[in-house]
Amino acid sequence: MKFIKFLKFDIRQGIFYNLCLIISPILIATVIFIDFIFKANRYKAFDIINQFVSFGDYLFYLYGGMTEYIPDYGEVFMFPVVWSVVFLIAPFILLNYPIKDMVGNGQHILIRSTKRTYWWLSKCFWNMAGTLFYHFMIQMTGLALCLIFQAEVTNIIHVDFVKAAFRVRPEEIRDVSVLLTSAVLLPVCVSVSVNMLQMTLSLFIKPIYSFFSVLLVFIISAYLLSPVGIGNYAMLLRHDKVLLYNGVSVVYGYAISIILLLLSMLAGSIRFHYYDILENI
Amino acid sequence: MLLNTVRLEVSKALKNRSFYTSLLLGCMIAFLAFITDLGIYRNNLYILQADAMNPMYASSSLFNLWIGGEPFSLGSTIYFFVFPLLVTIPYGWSYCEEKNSGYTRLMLVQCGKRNYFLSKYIAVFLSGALAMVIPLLCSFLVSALFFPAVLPSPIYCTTNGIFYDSLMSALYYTAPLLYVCIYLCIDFIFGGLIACISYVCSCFVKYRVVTVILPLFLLLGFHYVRQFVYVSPMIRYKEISPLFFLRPVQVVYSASWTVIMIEIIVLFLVTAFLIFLWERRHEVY
Amino acid sequence: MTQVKIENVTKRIRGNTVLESITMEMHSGKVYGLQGVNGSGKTMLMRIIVGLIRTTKGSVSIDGKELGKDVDFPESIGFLLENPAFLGRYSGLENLKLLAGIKNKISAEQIQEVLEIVGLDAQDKKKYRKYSLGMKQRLGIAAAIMEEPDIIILDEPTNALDEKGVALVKKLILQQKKRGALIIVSCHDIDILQEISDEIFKLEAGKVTEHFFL
Repeated sequence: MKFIKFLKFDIRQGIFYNLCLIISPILIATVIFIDFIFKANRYKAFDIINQFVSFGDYLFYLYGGMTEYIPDYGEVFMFPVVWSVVFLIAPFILLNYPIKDMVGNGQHILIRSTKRTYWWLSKCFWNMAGTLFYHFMIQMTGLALCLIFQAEVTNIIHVDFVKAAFRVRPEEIRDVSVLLTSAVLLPVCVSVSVNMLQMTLSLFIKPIYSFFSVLLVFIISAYLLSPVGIGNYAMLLRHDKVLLYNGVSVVYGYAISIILLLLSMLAGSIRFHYYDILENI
Repeated sequence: MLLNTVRLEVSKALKNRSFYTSLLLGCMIAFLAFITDLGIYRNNLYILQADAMNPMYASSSLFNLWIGGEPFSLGSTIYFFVFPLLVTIPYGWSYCEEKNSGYTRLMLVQCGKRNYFLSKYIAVFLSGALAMVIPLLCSFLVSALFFPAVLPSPIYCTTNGIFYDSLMSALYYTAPLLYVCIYLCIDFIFGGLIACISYVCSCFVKYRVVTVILPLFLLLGFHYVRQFVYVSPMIRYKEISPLFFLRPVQVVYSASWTVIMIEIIVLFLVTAFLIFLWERRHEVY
Repeated sequence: MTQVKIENVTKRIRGNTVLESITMEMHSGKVYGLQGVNGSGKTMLMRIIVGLIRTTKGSVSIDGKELGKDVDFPESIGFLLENPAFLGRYSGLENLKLLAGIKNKISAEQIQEVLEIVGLDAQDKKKYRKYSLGMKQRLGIAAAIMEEPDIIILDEPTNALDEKGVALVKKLILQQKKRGALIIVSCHDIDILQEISDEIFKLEAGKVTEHFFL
């Protein structure tokens, strides 16, 4: 019962009263959508694509990432900027609340929880809810804009658009035509796990360095196509159903995300049990 | 009075754990790039030995095998993506912390608003600039111990990443050491100015961690603008994103002095305006 | 009948010994004073009793339940540690209502009553961030006593208060003592401490150097 009260408190204070968490995804989604629709119009004008884009294309544009990078003198690494923005803003917004809640007023709440585990679990669920809310807002803003700009509201993907927008060589990806829900939920799932990892790391190192670690996880994942790099699962272009060779398995992606999520929660819970809450965090 | 305040601030900026941590992180990333580059050089040596007719000595040298000279190793990729954090970690947060703790009040009474804000600006600038350049310099010096400083040849422009329209390309192929020095100066100035963005953020944000990270997102946001600017594949644009043009090697489009100077001036004017006019006018409670 | 037993507690933070071999026993219905210069370890000891900080060695038991082992925090405790801090966008009343909502032990009327007792206007809509230091301190005291906890911990409760405020704090502490609460107070002013305490522990460099009864 108490735990539910904490969770309600955290959801209210950390999500609904967190203006940044509400406005940022709307803003990001709008800018990305404008960029997306400009590109679609341009490609249509140049006859690069035959049909106009859909909501599925927009989601692919958000979570597409990049195909495999093969380092070479002539091949400069260019990080996927849309993907980076989408996946780095969430941990940034969610970074401060738990730390802020450990000082001042948060200590009153913590003591009233009677158990440290309740506090930690409540923060874990808040973190998950916050990340889901962030992606939900990005997707729903995109959906609303699709309706406004009269783009198809279907999960159909136009491979021509994908190839042009991501500058993918024709031989690199399969001719996918439909964006499966399981595929589009995996990046969200990865985002939840990585944000949880960041929150747990904040108990061991300073929050700035935990964010730095998350940044490294994403940039290394983008650089190296490997099933070990969790960020790979957050890129639709690297899924085995899309990429022709060396693609990462969606099923493994879910398994790794869930394992990382649970391990982070557990490690955080153990660490928080012995954590000294000093005023000067 | 001003000199004493500047001395105090600079000493606080350069003698703190965050500064050392940032340097350590930067140097570790640079070392990662060096390891990759060492592997590439060893591989190139085998190829050179195998080809007696055309040894291509000028194709792999110090100038395209240090962290700033190549755009493809993991270390180089990481460094030029995370540098906005590396430059703000040392001291960008200081005004935010001093405002929260009430130390600002003490300093303002002791040395006056102008002296305090100016010395803080200088200290933040220096800390960021040094945090940006020291790992690059270390990488260059360590690489110099292992790779020959052969004069690069324009014949191998694809391996050097410096093309005919690249910034200071003539200098690169005639006096590469000077080219590296000038580029380090550009990075020095930008490192300092980006750290000052963090200082400016402290005027509006009260959380230290936010002030440190915000410049990264501002740069990332500015980088995103490229999507709206570079629309035609037919036009040879100039690089506008510091995330790309601060690399001493061309990434996509060539850098230009005009863009670099405009961005330096705009960054300086905006940060200076907000600190010396906006924040100075505010009452300190 | 509440009992706080501190046995051989040592706390080290980054190699520095902040508290060393502290042993104390405290009972309900009494006021215990902690006296010592800045950095002597008073606040750290209070944080350990609250459960915010774990001991490096030794144990703290509340009614036989060891903190960190049997329970994470004392079941019934109110505290004011260093500077009070609440949510800036709410008024004092709203802040207390939020906190009280967790245990649901007291009604809105009772919260208003507590606010009036500490000298704050319950109807005042002013946001916490606009409170003066004294008002913040009073709200902190109200939060500590509002649910009539068994243990009350007050770290420098007279900070930022005027003469009237100090007198009010003294009166409140004695009222809570009468109710049967166990109160631990730290204060720089030895006269105030002697006036309200039943026992005083003097701390120096993390050690109890004197323990006297009044």
